[in-house]
Amino acid sequence: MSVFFPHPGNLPDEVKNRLQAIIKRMMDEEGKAVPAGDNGRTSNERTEVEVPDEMPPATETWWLESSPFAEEATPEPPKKGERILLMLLSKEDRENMIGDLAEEFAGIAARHGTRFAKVWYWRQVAGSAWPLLRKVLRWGLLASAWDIVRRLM
Amino acid sequence: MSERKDFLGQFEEILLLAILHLDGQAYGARVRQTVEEAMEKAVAIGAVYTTLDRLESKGYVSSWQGESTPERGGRAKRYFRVEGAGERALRDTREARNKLTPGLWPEPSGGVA
Repeated sequence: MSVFFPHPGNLPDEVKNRLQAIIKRMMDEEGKAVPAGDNGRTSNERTEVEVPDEMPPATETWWLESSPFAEEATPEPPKKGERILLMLLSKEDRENMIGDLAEEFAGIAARHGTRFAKVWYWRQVAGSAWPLLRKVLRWGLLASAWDIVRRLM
Repeated sequence: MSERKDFLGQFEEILLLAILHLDGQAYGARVRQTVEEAMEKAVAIGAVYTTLDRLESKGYVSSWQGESTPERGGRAKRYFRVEGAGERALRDTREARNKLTPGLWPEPSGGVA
């Protein structure tokens, strides 16, 4: 079943006017400041809310452009994945490894799309977690052992 | 008594060969891609770095900080180079393998020796 979302450009005048009234009423209630226009009004003066007559061409997917499923214009690696790696990485490896992943992520996103690149990134995080954790644990154990030896001496 | 020989693990050997192949352009991402293509399976960057750190602590490779690029978010690259000890370890490992391999499997028909 497909769901049809009407494009704002296709709205009849009556609906536009009602929308305009609703927005105005909401602004009156909230006392929200209106951004300054190019006609010299200050940002605190109320103004008419204008619904533009000319809207971009209507398509059935226009609403997707601002959805979470949309492809990002400038894709960025998943922040949570980056944070997990930062926790496991030594200071000297942080910059290099995160930089390497960011570089590869940009290339993959350009070739295969952001979603594919994010999946790839998370797979890298998952695959890297164990070797990095093992290294952290090994150094932790060595440090603890050395601490015990020093106390005994 | 002959001098002490060092032998490499499989992944260590492949990493060293990848660095040699990249000839001065070996940094984390390139090494990972090269190894992934050679092994034909997914390789995690974390595994590459932990192994390279181990090889560096043994003196088989050395590293230095390189340039940064915008797609890396301004982060620097870390380049790797195989040192003499690393090349010796590669040779020793290969020699040991070559001594044990002959006669184990039949030669492929029509293959070049």
